[in-house]
Amino acid sequence: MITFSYDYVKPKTLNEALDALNEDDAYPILGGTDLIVKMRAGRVKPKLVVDLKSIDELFHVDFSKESGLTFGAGLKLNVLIEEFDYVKEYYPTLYQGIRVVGGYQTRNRGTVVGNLCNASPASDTAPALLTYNAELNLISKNGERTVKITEFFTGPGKTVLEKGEIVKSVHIPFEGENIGRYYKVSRIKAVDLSTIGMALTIIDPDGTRDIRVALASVAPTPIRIFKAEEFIKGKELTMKNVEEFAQIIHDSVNPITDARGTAEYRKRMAKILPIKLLREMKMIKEGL
Amino acid sequence: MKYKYQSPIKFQYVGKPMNRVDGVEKVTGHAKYVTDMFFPNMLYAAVKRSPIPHGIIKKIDTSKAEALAGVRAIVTGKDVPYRQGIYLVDRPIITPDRVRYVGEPVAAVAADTLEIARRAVELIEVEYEELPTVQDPRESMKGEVLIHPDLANYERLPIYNIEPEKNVFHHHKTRKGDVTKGFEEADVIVEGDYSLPQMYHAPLEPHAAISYWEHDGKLTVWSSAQSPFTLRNLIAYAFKLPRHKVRVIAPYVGGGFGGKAGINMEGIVIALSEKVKGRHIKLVYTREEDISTVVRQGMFAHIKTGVKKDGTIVAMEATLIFDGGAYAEYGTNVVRAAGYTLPGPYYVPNLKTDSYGVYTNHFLGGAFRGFGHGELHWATERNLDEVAQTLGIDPLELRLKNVLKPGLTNSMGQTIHHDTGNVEACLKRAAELIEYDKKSEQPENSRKVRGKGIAGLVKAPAMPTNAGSAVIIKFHEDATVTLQASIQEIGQGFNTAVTQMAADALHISPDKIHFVMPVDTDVNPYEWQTVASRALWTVGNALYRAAEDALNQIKNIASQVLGVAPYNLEVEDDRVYVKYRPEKYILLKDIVMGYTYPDGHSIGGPVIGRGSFTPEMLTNLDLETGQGNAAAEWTFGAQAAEVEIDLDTGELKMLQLVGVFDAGTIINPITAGGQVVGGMIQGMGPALFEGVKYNDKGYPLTVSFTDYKIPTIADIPDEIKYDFVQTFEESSPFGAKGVGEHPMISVPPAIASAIYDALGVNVDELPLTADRILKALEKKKNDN
Amino acid sequence: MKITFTVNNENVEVDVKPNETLLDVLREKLYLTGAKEGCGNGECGACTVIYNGRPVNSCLVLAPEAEGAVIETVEGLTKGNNLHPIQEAFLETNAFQCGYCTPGFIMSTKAMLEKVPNPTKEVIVERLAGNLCRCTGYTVILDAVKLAAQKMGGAE
Ligand SMILES: Cc1cc2nc3c(=O)[nH]c(=O)nc-3n(C[C@H](O)[C@H](O)[C@H](O)COP(=O)(O)OP(=O)(O)OC[C@H]3O[C@@H](n4cnc5c(N)ncnc54)[C@H](O)[C@@H]3O)c2cc1C
Ligand code: FES
Ligand code: FES
Repeated sequence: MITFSYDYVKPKTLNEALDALNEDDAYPILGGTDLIVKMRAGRVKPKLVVDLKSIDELFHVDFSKESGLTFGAGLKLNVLIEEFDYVKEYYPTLYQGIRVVGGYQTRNRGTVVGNLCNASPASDTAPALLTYNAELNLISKNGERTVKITEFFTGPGKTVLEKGEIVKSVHIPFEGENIGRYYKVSRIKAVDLSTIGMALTIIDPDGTRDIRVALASVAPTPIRIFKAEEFIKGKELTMKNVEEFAQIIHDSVNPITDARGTAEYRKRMAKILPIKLLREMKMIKEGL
Repeated sequence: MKYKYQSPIKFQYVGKPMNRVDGVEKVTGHAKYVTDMFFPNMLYAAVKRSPIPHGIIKKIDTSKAEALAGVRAIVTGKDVPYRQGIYLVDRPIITPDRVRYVGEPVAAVAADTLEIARRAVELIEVEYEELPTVQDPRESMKGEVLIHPDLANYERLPIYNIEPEKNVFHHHKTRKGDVTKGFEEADVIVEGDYSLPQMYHAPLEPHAAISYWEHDGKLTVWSSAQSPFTLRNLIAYAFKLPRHKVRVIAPYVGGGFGGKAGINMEGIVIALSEKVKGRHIKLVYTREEDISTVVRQGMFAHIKTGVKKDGTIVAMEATLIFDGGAYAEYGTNVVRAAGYTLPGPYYVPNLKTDSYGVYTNHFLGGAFRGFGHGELHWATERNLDEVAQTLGIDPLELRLKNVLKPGLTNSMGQTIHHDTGNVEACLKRAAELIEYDKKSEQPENSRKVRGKGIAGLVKAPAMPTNAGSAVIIKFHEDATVTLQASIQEIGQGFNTAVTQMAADALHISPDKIHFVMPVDTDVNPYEWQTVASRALWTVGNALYRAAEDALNQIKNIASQVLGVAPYNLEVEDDRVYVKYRPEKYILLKDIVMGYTYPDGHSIGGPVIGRGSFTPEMLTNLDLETGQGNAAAEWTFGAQAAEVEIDLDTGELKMLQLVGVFDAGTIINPITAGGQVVGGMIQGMGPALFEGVKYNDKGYPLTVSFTDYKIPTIADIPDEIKYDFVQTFEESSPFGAKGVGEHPMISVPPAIASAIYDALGVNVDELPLTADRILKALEKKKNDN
Repeated sequence: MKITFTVNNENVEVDVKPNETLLDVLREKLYLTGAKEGCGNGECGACTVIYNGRPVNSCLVLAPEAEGAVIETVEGLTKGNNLHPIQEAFLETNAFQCGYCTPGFIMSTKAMLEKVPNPTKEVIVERLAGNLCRCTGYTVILDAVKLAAQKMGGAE
């Protein structure tokens, strides 16, 4: 039960929705798994809730190797991974990230776009999307624009979205064969926010081997560590190189202590996880 | 004197698996909990709470709230200047002058809808003058900040020692033998510090109550309560009402674990009722409110143990300092029970224990499944492991060498008898189940390590010496029976077990017996409380007496009809028959309402059996030495664990959990097994991740299930095994005693022991997080 | 505002406010009290209902969002006076203690078995991890789900 009153509309078209969202304290809702929790706690108090779930355009999904994957904001987390096999096949890191968001019920309501717009440093879908160079298509009364996910987050709970602007869809280019891991350390083994999350994606693992790494819960926003990626680019994956790669990741993060873990542990994991993941993916040349 | 005990009861149903009797209501969703109850014209309540951990209330302005349409009543502490408390009366219903923790109730509202009530609460304005806070009970004992300046004037039972200038609400002392001499005799002395944070019960149903006060003065309260009669008693005491004017009805309870024992939030809604008589008022706590209502106390312990080279314990000195939170109330007895049970299931000839309950500005610490024993065993079992490590003896061997056996005395000077229970057998069986003699198989090509550990335990019901139970058995026209015993069904399956016991006591089949729900203090016979794993034992005794009473009535009537002495008659199934001529009988249905001769004249009358019981042979403890008879019967046990630890991340996976308990006769293996498995998983939570966290200023961080995590189905061990040792408990005709709390108790030390086996490191602070395991590993590396 | 939806095969029209949740409407307006509020925050699963074929936390659905939805609650499981095989399975395995979590588990189980008739332990764990139980320690619930799968496989 929510203590304050507000209005609710469920427009059928984007245009109507954008009009509604221009009103004072209007909030879009998709799954509501973040928004309703915050409303119940009185942390946000919309005057108008604009339900985007009747807008057909937001439910579009499209994939080809040439153009990559595009999916509308309305797609539920579970629908995306259960009904579209190519997510698992071509974006394995994202598939793993989605699967560890909340419980099964949460994923039946929650969306990737809601997860991103909520802009929690602990977002479980953002790290994978960061490694896949995803782009967000934004729309408002003023028109459309595309923002790289690396530029989307500006702080805890903060994004580049402007008043009245929403995310319409997510586009993830397909950059070729890739393998990846999303590893989440949490206090319990399911339905928990991460103490630390790490996405490690390797594009073209048997060829150019482009390693990408992004983390959750170690900084004010989910972050990708380009510096470490550049260091390891073209280098042999000897233990020494991997350790240095890990050290750069460690040095690039700035975690805090909270109910989910200490800064010290998070920092330690920032160094340990890349080695662990590369080892488990059998990428490290042992004995060198 | 040579004697062999024989149970007066022939077991036909007791001991056999019987499906739960409350099943259909629960799987259909029809079982009604307080939250599911609605009354016409009902009002809803909401509570205004303190946002700060410690302060003086300067002013409360309720005028804006009063002005809100639909608000029917507002109460503040000034309206209910009563304190409540089962053992120590230190807890205001609504605090009038001073707040002592974040979330403490300062006002409450009743309104036409919940929404209005909650809005009104937001409109109440409270001004505070903040006071310095204390977080750590060890600091608190310095007495620099007094949390209850008036403690000396509070009413309490005379079995408690207060030390008001030190914020100490109870100081339990055990003085047995001569510790100084004991330590002189020791070859080795091992000491250590062990601690654990507060823990939250997390029943899936939060606290909930509905109150209705009629204009004629009769008060009725529906509550999600474990202790309807004690609740009635405490309400009547606080509101100064005669007992017969207070009625408590307790429908199904959605989990209690001690958190719904005694009195909790009922007083608040009753206070509102006092202002709006003639209307039902419902108060259901949100999860966030529930977490701030009552928790298990935290603890810091220091244990020092002296042993001979061969592992024989000669002396132990222990200090337990409990973080009792802002109010002690029920928790007073937790401190005492932990104090008098230490050192657990072992014989220690020279013992000195000081157990302190200390106020802090944390949530109030009350009763919790295990009642201090999870805490004390964490300290003592850990310490014993460290003794074993120092001596180079196997931890199991060390324990077996020192277990309590018949003829030895426990900490209170009570002698162990042949029927007291067999911890040795429990330890050995647990070792067998986990294959303790074989080292863990290590996974190949992996950076993971496995290990096994074991721990012992004991717990007796912690209850007043006069904690009574009563049972009524009513026969109906067709010789079916209703059974009234006021133990609350909180999930433990009591109504199933007691049906089986009644069937054997009455010699009729369980399908003819109906256990009356809900418990209603106007209708039911008295029962102290559903706590302390005592129901099977006390109610078992009362039930036997009630059954005997009913059977005697039946036999007396039948004796007249059949012309045979009552002692030559036997009741079985649907009839009373002559023992030596079974073909001569009369059907029960023809006499349980009295017998009517063919000519119409009648004898006897409706059969109602009645049985009462209070624990036998208990005494208070001497306040200076802790010697006396505080415990009536004990359940012993042993637990074992196997874990796998990721050397990189410190993450721990549970491979196995094992529990073996000597609870005497197992009435129903299904419900007993349910208690064991559920209890072990509830014990695994605080072992691995559970704990209330506060920031350094006393503000809680784990305020909802988002951050107070409890085990999910993904967290349970790959394998759970359990067994029972069944030493017949002779003080009960059924030979049975409790096993409700015990499965939780020694899970944490068993897991810590397994971690040592895997990694060679001791982690002495709960919970055993990945972070702490890695730190301990690192420390070991640096030390080498 | 008025909304209509289908609950347990019946069309209902209810007057709701935007700040009520679906759970509030089911419990307080339709008196379908099988779904429980254990947290109101999506963390415990006690409020689980099947919503357009998928299990969701009804505490995190705003009442007006439910317009047009097809909803199943535990009350809809019994057919006539017969228990559903999942209910029988929970009964026979004693897969509950206090029972407060039980309707939520049963609804999660139903939604799962309709899509995955023979779930592995891994699938069961993944789909039931959003349902908390403080009493049973979960092992009996695993047994119940397996038994229910058998029963339903046999029946259909
Ligand atoms: C029990 C539980 C467990 C959870 N566990 C996890 C977890 O493990 N990991 C994790 O990452 N998250 C977790 N979450 C958070 C949440 O489920 C996810 O962030 C989810 O993906 C949010 O999606 P949604 O559609 O429900 O968002 P909503 O709640 O609908 O929206 C989120 C925010 O985005 C805004 N918004 C919605 N749509 C748009 C749009 N199109 N454009 C712009 N802004 C928009 C809303 O106004 C709101 O502020 C958990 C939540 C719960 C309740
Ligand atoms: S009440 Fe909905 S998930 Fe807990
Ligand atoms: S049976 Fe009590 S919470 Fe599951």
